[in-house]
Amino acid sequence: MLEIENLTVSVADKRVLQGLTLAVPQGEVHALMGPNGSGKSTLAQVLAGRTDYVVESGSVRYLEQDLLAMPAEERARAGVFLGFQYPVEIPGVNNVYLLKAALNARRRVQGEPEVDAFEFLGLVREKMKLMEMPESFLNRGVNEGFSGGEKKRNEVLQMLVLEPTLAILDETDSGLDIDALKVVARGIETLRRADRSILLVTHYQRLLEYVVPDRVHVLAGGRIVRSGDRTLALELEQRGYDWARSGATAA
Amino acid sequence: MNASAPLAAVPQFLRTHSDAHARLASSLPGGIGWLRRRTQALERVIELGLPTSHDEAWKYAPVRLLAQRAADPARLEPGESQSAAHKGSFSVPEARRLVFIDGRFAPALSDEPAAIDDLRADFLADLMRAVPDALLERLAVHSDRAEDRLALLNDAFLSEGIVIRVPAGATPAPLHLQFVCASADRATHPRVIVEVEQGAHLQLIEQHLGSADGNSVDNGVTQVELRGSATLEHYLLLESADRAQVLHGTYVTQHRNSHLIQHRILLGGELARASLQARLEESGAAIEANSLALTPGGEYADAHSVIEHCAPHTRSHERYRAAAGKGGRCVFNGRIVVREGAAGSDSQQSSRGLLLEPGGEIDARPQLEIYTDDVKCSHGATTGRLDPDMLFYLLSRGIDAATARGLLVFAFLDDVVARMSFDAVRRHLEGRIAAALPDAPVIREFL
Repeated sequence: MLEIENLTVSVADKRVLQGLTLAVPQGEVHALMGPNGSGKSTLAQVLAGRTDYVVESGSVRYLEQDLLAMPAEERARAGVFLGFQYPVEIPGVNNVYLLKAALNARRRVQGEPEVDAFEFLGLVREKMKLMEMPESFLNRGVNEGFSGGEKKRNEVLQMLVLEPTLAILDETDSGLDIDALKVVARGIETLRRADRSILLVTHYQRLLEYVVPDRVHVLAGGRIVRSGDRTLALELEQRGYDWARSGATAA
Repeated sequence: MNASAPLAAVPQFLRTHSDAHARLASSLPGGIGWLRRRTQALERVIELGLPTSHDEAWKYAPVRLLAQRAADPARLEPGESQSAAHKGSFSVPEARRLVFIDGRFAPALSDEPAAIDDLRADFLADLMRAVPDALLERLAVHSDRAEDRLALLNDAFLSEGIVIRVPAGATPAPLHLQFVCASADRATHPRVIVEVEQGAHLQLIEQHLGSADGNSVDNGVTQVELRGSATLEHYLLLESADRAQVLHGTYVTQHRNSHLIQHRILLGGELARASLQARLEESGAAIEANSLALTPGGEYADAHSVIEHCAPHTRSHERYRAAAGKGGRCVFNGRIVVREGAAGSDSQQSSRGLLLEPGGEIDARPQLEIYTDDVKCSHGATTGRLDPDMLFYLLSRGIDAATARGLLVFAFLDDVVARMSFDAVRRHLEGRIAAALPDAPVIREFL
């Protein structure tokens, strides 16, 4: 599904990713963990098509396509979804209109007709219920006046409506209390399917108690320093990132 | 004519006015007092000259385009050009509409003016015919400031417009005044006089539509007096087309606990200029001034305001939003004066400009003059491009770049429009804004 090879990325003349290699096969949920400043968010943004970063070398293939050659909007239409760490507020652009436009953009590429307005509202209401979001969210500006937790729920809501093929969730668990974390985790779990892949970028292993990953990778200094099964996350929690870094050469 | 001003040095615009004055003065309504006033006003303007780029408040304005314009303030014969509906015209279901074409009332396009409940509306000309020197004491603009010269010129040709009085405690149906410059090469000087008595409320939509044929000048003046606890919601929509020029001055006096909301919209045209001068004369008076300017390419829009806090516990809140495309220019000059003795006053001003593409220009200039302690004043001014984070967020949801840009520009400008009370006004303006942006059809899908 997603194959990243030897990816080197810099921003403002500073190398953030240094030869990162990572593969997420179809149907799997992978967790990407790492200390602050290790390059986790940079990777998420590069995969979603942000152009402020300079890809110096390496390749990213998504469903046998050259992902890096596609502009951000094409990636989204092809089924790549980024759940932002800090979702931006866009006053004046209606939350539900954006969602509808996003869904229709995806359907158009898949050769499907535009979604019926009535059907669409039904779908959104159903997903909002799952995310325990009040109806009033429908008619507000995108993330406008949302609390940190509400913004994260809104990201997962969008993901549930758009049903991406590859979901990259950038610290969707950060800033959530335990109840909200469970709701968000439940949302992610419902998306788990044999033809879909999920990359969870996270700082702590807390989310992974609810969404159990197939693989865990540790990113440090711009590259993957350890990979393993879910027990790696637990070990990391006990031993800390210094331990993971020290194993860099061994990995 | 004043000997100190040799006629050759007088700009074309004033020469045309001077000729018209000689022709028209004796036939305009009003008594000998008015004849004198008009003549004095014209002489004074000719002596002072039109504003130039040396006048601070007109620094960026294409003043030459005004000076060179041979727009004639000649009056139309009744019936001429008065029945056709005009582009940009719209109606507000809950409001009574009075339409003026080239300065003259157009009954065929208007609701019945006489039957307005809880409100007295008189045509200026009728009032001046009935009481020859009516309004004389109320009208004059006494200063020589560059800002006021166009109001003086409006005085010199005063005869068009309406006087609205809302009696104490009344809340009449909203009123929609539509001033249309339909003919090319025409100058009009409409005047609106609004008095809202104690505790009364009025919603007034004042729309100035420039001629599509171009070369017209609409030089309007609106005078507002709000008595104790009166409120006025004033929509000032300056919508000029292409080569039309629309100039407007609002002069406001506010008494105790009165409240004014002004929504100013400046769209299109080679020169659109709105000037607001408000005096908060008694405690508790409050003003909210929201302005929106859009110059997608080649236009000029100038929003000025001077708000004077003259009494304790007065409040002002000013919000300015502007977007300029290539060759477009938006100017904002917001001056707040807090006079001695206006303790406990509160003034907030926010100005935000959006450059749509290289080659656009936005000049925002907040000015604060504070002559007393114990006041709360804040102002912020920013100008920039679209927020890259917002843009990327939309792209990452599959929205194409052109639509994303259009949506963000629209949302930015809609911050002013969304505050308006009337659906019909919002819809009209949102349509106008969307149409002025490059990706009109896709933006419309979102509305």
